[in-house]
Amino acid sequence: MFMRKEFIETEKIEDFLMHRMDAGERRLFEVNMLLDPSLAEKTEAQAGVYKLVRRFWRKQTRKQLSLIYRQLLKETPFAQQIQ
Amino acid sequence: MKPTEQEILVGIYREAFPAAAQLVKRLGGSLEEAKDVFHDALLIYLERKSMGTLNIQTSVKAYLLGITKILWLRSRDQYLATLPEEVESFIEDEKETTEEKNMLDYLMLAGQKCMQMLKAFYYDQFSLQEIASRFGFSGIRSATVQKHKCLQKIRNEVKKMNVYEEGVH
Repeated sequence: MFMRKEFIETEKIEDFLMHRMDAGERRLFEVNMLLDPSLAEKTEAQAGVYKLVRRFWRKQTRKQLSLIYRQLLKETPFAQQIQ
Repeated sequence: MKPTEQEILVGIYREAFPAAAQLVKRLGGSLEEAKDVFHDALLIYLERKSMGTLNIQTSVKAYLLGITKILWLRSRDQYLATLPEEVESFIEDEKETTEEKNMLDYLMLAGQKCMQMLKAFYYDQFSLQEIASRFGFSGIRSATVQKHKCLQKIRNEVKKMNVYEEGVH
């Protein structure tokens, strides 16, 4: 079942990690992390998720860039310019 | 007709890479090395663009050439000034531990759909409507719920594997 409370918490963690909170909200969130170790743990793990997604995106994008390079090598002016 | 993101990227590549290749060659690198370092510069550019934190004072080509030069000199220990923030955090992020690599490999098997969806949401900048149609969800609400569930699912995997033990900054 979809849990609204959990949803709000995940969104709040995202706002904190993506620097979308103002100074007051940020301080409150930090205090909440101190009072609730499970929130701190979830926040740490969620930061890990974004890092993994970023790595995944980089891997996929590197493949895409290699394809573009190979495609451009077939264009004579491009191939001549890089020699 | 408006060019697609892919067409724009090919255009940027076509325009900037020859100059980047000449630059790296002048600094003693090969064409292959120039390509690798240029791809890193493009990753920095694209990542910053998708996050809305790109700060370009000149043209995209000049930005890419600047970053390419810094990355190349840095790789040869010849860049002695303070690194721009985007370059420093990119280099830091590229240091992948074995645990992180294993974790990503595992997620590519056990959570590929979630990883694809989160990538589409955060980096490819698809709207929730586009995500819904691309990933076969009934609508925006369903896509929102799935995004949340995916975040939780991967978060639980990260917790289980205990990959990231450092504090949150």
